[in-house]
Order: sequence, then C-alpha cells, then structure tokens
Amino acid sequence: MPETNTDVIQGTLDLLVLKTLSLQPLHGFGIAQRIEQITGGVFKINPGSLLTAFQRLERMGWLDSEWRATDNSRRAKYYSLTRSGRKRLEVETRDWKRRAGAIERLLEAEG
Amino acid sequence: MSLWRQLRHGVRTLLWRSRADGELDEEARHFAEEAAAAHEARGMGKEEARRMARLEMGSALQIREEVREAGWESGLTGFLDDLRYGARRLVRSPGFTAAGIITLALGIGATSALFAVVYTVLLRPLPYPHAERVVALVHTAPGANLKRLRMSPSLYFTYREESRVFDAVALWNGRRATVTGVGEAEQVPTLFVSHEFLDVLGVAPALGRGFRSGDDDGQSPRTAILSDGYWRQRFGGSPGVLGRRLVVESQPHEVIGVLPAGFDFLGEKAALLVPFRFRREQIRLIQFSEDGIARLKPGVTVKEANADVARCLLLAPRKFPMNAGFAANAFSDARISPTVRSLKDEAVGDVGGTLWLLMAGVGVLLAIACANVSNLALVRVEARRREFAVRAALGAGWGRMARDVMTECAVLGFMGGAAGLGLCAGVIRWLGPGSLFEPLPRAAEIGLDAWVVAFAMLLSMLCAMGVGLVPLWRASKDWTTEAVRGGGERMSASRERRTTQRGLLVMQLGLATVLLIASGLLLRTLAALRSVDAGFTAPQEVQAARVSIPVALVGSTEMVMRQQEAILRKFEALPGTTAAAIATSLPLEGANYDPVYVEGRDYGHDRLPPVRRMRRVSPGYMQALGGRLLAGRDLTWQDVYGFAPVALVSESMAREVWGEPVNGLGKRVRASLGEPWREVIGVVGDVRDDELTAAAPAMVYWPLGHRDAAGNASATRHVDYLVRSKRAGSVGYVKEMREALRSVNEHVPLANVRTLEEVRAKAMSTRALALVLLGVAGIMGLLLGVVGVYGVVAYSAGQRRREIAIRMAVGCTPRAVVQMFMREGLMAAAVGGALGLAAGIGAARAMRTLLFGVGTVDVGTLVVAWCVVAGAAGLASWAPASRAARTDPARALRG
Repeated sequence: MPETNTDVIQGTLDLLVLKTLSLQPLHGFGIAQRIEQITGGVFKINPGSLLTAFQRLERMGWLDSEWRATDNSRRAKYYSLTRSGRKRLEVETRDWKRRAGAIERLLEAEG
Repeated sequence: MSLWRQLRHGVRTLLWRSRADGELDEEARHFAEEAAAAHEARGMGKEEARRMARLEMGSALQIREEVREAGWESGLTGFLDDLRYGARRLVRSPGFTAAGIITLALGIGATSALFAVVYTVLLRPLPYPHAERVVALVHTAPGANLKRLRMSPSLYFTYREESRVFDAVALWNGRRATVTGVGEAEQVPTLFVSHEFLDVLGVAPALGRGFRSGDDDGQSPRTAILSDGYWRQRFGGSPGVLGRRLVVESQPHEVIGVLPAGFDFLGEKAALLVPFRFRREQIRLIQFSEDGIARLKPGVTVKEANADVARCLLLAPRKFPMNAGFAANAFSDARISPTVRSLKDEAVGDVGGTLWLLMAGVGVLLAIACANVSNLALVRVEARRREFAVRAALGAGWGRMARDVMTECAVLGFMGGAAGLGLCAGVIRWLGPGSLFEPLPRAAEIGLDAWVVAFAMLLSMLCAMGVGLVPLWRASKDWTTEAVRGGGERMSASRERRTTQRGLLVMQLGLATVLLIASGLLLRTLAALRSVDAGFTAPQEVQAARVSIPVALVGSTEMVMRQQEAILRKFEALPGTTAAAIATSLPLEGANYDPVYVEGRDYGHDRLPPVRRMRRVSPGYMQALGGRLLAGRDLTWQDVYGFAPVALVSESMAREVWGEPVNGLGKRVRASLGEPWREVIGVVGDVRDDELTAAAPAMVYWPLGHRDAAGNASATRHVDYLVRSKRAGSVGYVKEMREALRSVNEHVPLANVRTLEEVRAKAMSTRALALVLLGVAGIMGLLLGVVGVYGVVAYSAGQRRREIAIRMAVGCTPRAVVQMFMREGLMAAAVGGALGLAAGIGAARAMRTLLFGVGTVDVGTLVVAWCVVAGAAGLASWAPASRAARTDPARALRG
C-alpha cells in the first residue's frame, strides 16, 4: 500500500491554525479535528507541534487563550484570534496564494 | 509589542514553572481525552480508544519538553541547571572551594575597594549640575618664577567684564574666621566669596536667599550664609535663624541663607560663606592671594577658555593701576598666562598617577589570586580526566563539557565576588575619617555605591573566565578517545600538566616579585624622606597653632603686636617650653612671595626683580624650628616694634646673590621701590618649603610688623605660633596653651592645632599611602605565591609517591628526594623572580615621580626582593619535599 504523506508542509501550520481560528475560538483538539475535517484528512496534526505552535503564536500576540468549559463540560484552553492575528492571517494567506500559484504555474508548464 | 510579550511569557514560565507545566499537561490531557472520545464515537471500545489516542499523542513528557524547548527561557533554565550542578560538585570538595573563594575574595575585594577610591576621587563628577562646565581660574607666571599663580581681585573684575566664555566668574578664599557671640569664641572654616560663587557652582540655598550683587560691594549690610552642619550644630536647625546676627571677625553679619545638606566645595568643610567687600576703586593690579572659579558657557571648551583668558590678561593693566612701589612693568614681566582647568582636575591635583599605580598594584594581586585558583582548578580537571574521556567517547560534545568546567569556575567566581564585595564594604568602612586615605581629595565621599558593586560583579565574571580558561585549555587536549585507554599515556600527560602548573606558578612568583620591588622602592623612598635635612630638627617637639586677632577686636597695629608678644611670653612660660616664636606660616604649608630688589643691582628700568619666597617672623623663629643662624644676629622685639628696616635671608639666597653667606651681612634689600632699604642682619639655614623632595628655595624673612610704601604701619593679624617643648602634642600641653591664650584675650580661639611632625608627615602622606597599600599587596601576593608553591609541590609529591618509593628502594637517599622536589619550587622562584625583576624595573620607571632618593634600578631592592621570593618558595617546597622523603617504600608500594 503506497504511503500517503499526511505531514503538514513545513511552515504552514501557523497558517492552518490562524485560518481555523478565524471562524471561531476553539480548543487544541478542536483545531486539530477541524483541520483534518476540512482538508479531508490530507493533513494530520501532531499534538506536540500544535501545542508548540500555540505557545509561539500566543507569544507573537496573534492568539489569545482562555480556560473555559467545553460543551461536554470539561475544562479546556480555548484559543481565539487577536486583531493583529487577523492581520497576520491576511498577510500569510496572500503570501501562500502567491507561492502556490507560482508552483502551480511551474508544474503546468512542465506538464 | 511582541518582544515584550515574549519576555513576559518567558519570565512567567521561569517563575511559575510548575504552573506552566501543569497547564500544559492539562491541555495535553484534554487533547487526549477528546481524541479518545472521538475514537469512541467512531465505534471503538473505550479502552481501545484510549490506547489509540495515547499512541497518537506520544508521551506527555515528550510534549512538555517539545513545547518548553521552543521558548527562549529554556536556554536560561539549562544554564541554571548547570550552575546548580556545579555548585553541588563544589560543596562536595569544601577544601578546594574554601581556598578558591577566599583567594578570589581577597583579590576581588582589594581591587574593588581601590576601585571605589579611584572612582570617587578621579572619575565621579563633582556634585554640581553640569559640573564639567565649572573651571578653576589658575595661572602660571614664569617671569616671576611662579609655577602656580592664583587669582587677584583685579583679574576677577577683568574676567567678569571682558570675558566672552564664562557664564559667571567668582572669587573665593578659604580661611578661618573668628565667630563670637554664639557660645565660646571659635575659629570656623569660612569661605570668603564674591556674590556669584553659588551661581557658578549652580547651587541654591536650601533656606533663605543666595548672595546678590550688592552683598560684596563694601557698602551694604554684612551678610552670611551658613552650612547645613553649622546651622544644625549652632542653631539647632531652626528656620528662625534667617535674619539673625552672627558676629564674624567681630563684625555683625545678617544670616540670609542656609546651604543644602550635601553641599561640598573641594572638601573645604566650610561652616560659613561670607562675601568679600570690594571697593573697586581701591583695587590694585597685583594681589594674587585669592582663588577663582567660573562656569563656562555651554559648549565652550577649556582650551577656548584659556585662549579667551589670555586675551583678557592683556586688558587688565589698562583697567587697574599698578600697586604703589611696584615696578611699572611688574605685571607684564611676570609673563602671566592662564592654566584654566576643570575644577575636578584642580580638586584631584596630582594624586591621579599614584592612585592608578595602586590600582595596577592590586590588579597584579588579583592576577596572582586568579593564577592560584586556576592551578587548583587544573588539579580538579585532572582528577576528572577519565570521566571526561568516557563522556567524550559516548558522544558528549566539547561545548557540553566545557560548560561543565566553566560553570564550576563561574560559581567559584560568583561566590568569591560576593565575599570580596563584603570584604570591600568592610575595607571602605574602615577607610572612614582619620584613615590612611584622609589626605586624598574627596576622601570623605568614598563609599560602596552602585558603580562599585557593578565593578565587583564584572570583575568576578572576568575572574571566573580567567580562572577557567587554563584548565579548560588543558582539559580540551585530553578530550580525545585516546585518554580512555588509561595507564600508558598518563606519564606524558601529567608532565604536560605539570608544565602548565609551573607556568602559572612562575607567573605568580614573578608578579609577587614586582609588588615586592615596588614596595621596596617606596620603603627606601620614605626612609630617604625621613632622613632629609628639612632645615628643622625634632619636629615632634614643635607644637604649632594659629591665632587670629580681628581688626574689630584690637584696632591699633601696636596693640596687635603687643598682644601677640604677650601671648608668646605666656607660651614661653609654660612648663617644658624651651623656645617659642611667631610666623605667618609653617614650613611646607605655603609661604608668601615678594619681589626682592638687591641694592646695587640694575634690574633695568621699571622691570620686575626675581620673586622670592617670603615669611614674616618674630625673633626666635629659627631657634623654635631648630634651624641654624649661620651669620649675623637674629631679629629683636625692638626691630619689630620699631619697624626697623632689617631682614634675614636664607643661606641659598645669600649664596646666590653674594657668593658666601657671610658676605650678605650688611647688604641691603627691599620688596618695593617705595620702601626704604632693609639691612641684612642675619643669614639663616635653608628650610625646605615646597615639598620635602624639592631643594630649599631662596627665602627672605621680614619682621612681623611692616610699613607699606606710603608709610602706613600694619601688623600681621593671622599668625602661627611655634612652641618647642618635649610635651608638644600632648592634650595637657595644648590645654595649657589655650588657657594661656585666654588669659591674654578671651575672644581669640586657638585654631589649627598640630605639631610640625604632623606637617612633615602630611608632606609624605601620598607616598606613605602608596607604601602601605603596595606593601600589603606585596605581602599578600607573596603569601599566595607560597601557598601556590606548597600546593603544586605537595600535589606533585602525592602523584609521584610510587615513583619515589621505587627510587628509594633502589638506593636514592631522602636528601636527594628533598632536593628533587625543592628544585621544583626553587626553579619556579628563580625563573619567576628573574621575569619579575625585569618587570619590576619597568614598574619602577612607571612610578618614577613617586620615588625619591632611590634610582629606578636599585640593585639592593632587586636583590632583596628576589631573595625573599626564592626563600619563601624554598620554605614552601621544603615542607612537602621532606614529607615525601619520609616515604616508607614498603608501605607505599604495597598500598
């Protein structure tokens, strides 16, 4: 059975997290689940990397966090996007589209 | 601010590490639970779902490590862990740790304490706003043979009116003034100032007002400002003091202000500020008896100020008339030129060189201490060679192990620094008033402030690095897998290590030699100074004290002189007194200057004759000093009261002018063109007057009373009494003198009580200070060197125990064994001593200005220093060597 690569592309985890949180505040597992759902299982998130990314993004000032009760009444740390996080998302989105477009053009030219 | 957030989060993680960890764990657990729940929802069994989630997550510990490593603070916690590990290892070997800490504490403490002195005296700005703009108005007059010329009122007005570089100019003079009416009559240190004085310094009174331009014009009511200390002491700190009358020099003065508490001016400790009272129209060109300060306009350099003052100096003769009886060209002939410099430079004077030299001395001591500790650390690294080699073989990086060695030294450096700072604080407290440092300017300000603490911390960091580098360098050579093999290569490695140890030992002993040479030279200097013939004998038997009789108290010239003689007679009558006299000042405490015309010499029309040192004296002055009368006779009281035109001259003056002392008798001299010629009635021995190290200047002595060119008689109101007695310096004698004085005039206090010996000691104080400090540094350096020699030889003997046992078993005598080990110490002493001699000659050159009566290459000192170091090293190596020689071969080889 051919191995399907589910690793997150280097450097895109931040973008995925920011994008996911732009819709609504979520806790860690929620974010991981949402990413897997939306991408149709293309990306599988490593919990360690995700928690490290939270710390990094929070320290950059792009995320806020808050301990809150979940729907099934457990305590969880919810992350939400800050104003500067939203700006960052725009920048990263634009950047990503530019690069992805460039790669696509390159691949099509060869094919 | 993301940087700020980074910092805040990092610090929070550092401070509440367990809380941060707990939060992280909880977040991870929640993640796992949710994941398990998700699996369960997809139809998995409960246990299976949980196992699956755990598998996906990996270990909680690993996640924690992963997240934690991402933050900047992880580097710091790693360092702290290293420190903790290093400290724990040090605790396990208390001997090494204690030796290291004590040695470093000595070095760091001594260096920091001296830094506190250097910083306070040389580096810290004076306590005024923009103190760098405050300058001292000093001049030089090569034409009048004066290296240093002070300020005159004429120049004060000239600079005030003509200068373009000063915001304000002020004249000042620190004297003692008699205050009566507040308790007992007393002489208090007083600053006589022109009204801008406080403006120049930028200081405002804490209470009341400062002086205004009217206060010093000689017509408005007299005013005074009190120092904070005097105000508290005499008026209990009451604000009601403003407007009160204070009798200064028998004149009522209105108190108009009180200075702020911390006010200090060149350490003058003035209790009072009293304005001069100028009558501009009465001022003559030459009267250089005051001092001047000024505040530069912003942006003006000292060089520009000097240029502008030089321009003003040309204008002065046109603004003020020449003194009566003076040569018309006296001012221009004196070739006055400005040497304006910052007030701080003026305050510090020439002690800068000495202090930096002492700083270098304790720096050398610190280097010895570091070499010593480095040697100890080397032995420790040696003991851990196997451990390092194994770790290297297992893949530990060089950096990791270097950190290990360095953190141990860092802990040692830190502890040594902390202990050193404590030592430094103790030394500084001990430096308080009355100590060795008192003769230094600003000595009272020396304290343990933030800069000293910062310096000590920096120093301990540098020491830690310095101490660690050598063992690190040695150890890094061994960090090859080769070392694991053990056994075989030990000999060569330990030989290399011994070379390094010996290198450090040579350095210690060499540096100790330098310190010993420097202190030896100073010891010889002081001995030479002590045996200098200053022109007076048994100065410890001369009691001196100042007595001032204000105009308002005794008006007539005649009465002043009568009272002065009456006081003198009372002193003479005290039991034990053998001689007594009056003079305007004491030798080595500064004299006055007069131009001296010699009859029959042609000085050219209106030219200035050579300016000579001058002192007014009573009959018996030379006798009280213990000096000699070479020819002729002494003054008499008839000469004094009769204003007889007579003079005494010094031997060097007589030799210079007339060839032989005897030839001077009967010749005539005078100080100005208007006065009658004075006959030289006696030639007296030379007395050193500038410094003990400088040859005695040519000098003239006029009688106490004198008439000016216009024939007005005047007395000298401020005089020193010199009373010779075996009882000089005792409390009882001074008390009797006070009573004797009170019996003549109860309103006149006895001030500035000291013996001539104290005056002489003060002239040697800088060198004495240097000697004591360098001497202490030298002895400590030598002790550390001895400890170093002992340690290295003892260690070496311990390592080679088996070898010695074998040697002795095959017939080597104990004597040969002792020789073998002593050679080690003595060789280090010989090589180190030789290097030290070379460096010592260099050091002597650097301290040339401090030396007197001894050359920079003083063979005696060099030989003694070398012998002391060699002898100490010999003794230090003899003890462990003889112990090694007592090795019992049978036991050593079996054990």
